[in-house]
Amino acid sequence: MSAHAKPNSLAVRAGRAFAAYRAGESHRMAEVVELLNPVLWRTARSQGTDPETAADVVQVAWLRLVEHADRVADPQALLKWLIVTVKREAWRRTGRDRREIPTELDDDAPAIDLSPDALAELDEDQRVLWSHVSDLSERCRTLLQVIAFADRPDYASISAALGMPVGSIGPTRGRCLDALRRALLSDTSWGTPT
Amino acid sequence: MTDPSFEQPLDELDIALLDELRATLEAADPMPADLDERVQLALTVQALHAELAELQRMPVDLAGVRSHDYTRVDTVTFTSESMSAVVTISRVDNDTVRIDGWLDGDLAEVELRERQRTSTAPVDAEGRFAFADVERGLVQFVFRFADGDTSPVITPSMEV
Repeated sequence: MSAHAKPNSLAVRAGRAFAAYRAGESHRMAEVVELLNPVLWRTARSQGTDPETAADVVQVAWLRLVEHADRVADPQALLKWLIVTVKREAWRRTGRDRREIPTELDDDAPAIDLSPDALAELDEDQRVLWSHVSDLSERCRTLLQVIAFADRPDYASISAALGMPVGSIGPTRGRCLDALRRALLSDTSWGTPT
Repeated sequence: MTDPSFEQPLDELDIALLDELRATLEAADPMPADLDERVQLALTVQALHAELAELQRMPVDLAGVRSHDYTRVDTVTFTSESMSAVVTISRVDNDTVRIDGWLDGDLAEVELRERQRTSTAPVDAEGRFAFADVERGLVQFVFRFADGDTSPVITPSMEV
């Protein structure tokens, strides 16, 4: 995995700070947390947890990381390990792990319902964008919202961490963005971003 | 192993869509402003090599049944392998809450970590403890056992 990591990715920057933390620079952990929390928050929310549970789930993942720091052998694998841990904890808290084969994302989990107050924070284009994102399969919805908070070189390992088979990452990523683009471009109420 | 199509740059519309999606979610479903701080606080306590308890919030309507009409009371439970606790948080005034707890397990004392200070309360024979004057904000509990050998139990940090 690390052989493919690109210098400017979130995973690489966080991995570097985490390696420094493990080597004894304890203050570097704050940097790791700040870098990765937005992606982890998104991961938890995309898996059906309410905001309070999502915040707990993210905390638990960090606590487990420090507890098992030696198990994350490669600092570059840190982001992936945390995403997998957040996803599993979110599933446990929402009861999804009691359903059959909890290793893959399925397509029938509920979309996040943004409250009327939340929707009021959005402009018209954002509301249109969100409604089309909500219409995507859960797989695509999850992938797009999580990678929106990461850097491009991270997409492959994030897809893998979310349970998308490695061989289908490219097509899956293509399909998800394609589906969203087609829906938006055929929607006259949406203005192309400039 | 990486699919070569992943090495291709996304086009400008792809990038614009992902940027707009990020802005949309940051506006409509923002990460809690104190999440970084909460994680930091939790990690500081984790340095104790303690066992982590699971936090569960009780529905407000159930929790409020025994309280006075005008007092908002939140109840949370903490569960770990070696102990469990029920904790109620009642609003005293705008800045202060009172915390009452009941523990199941052979515990001697409870430590309450706030942003600026740490205080401890003894656990009585019935397993009860209380903190009468707690500043509203982030708190985290450390439960210490009567025998010195069992590792303490910590909780995730939470807003009171």
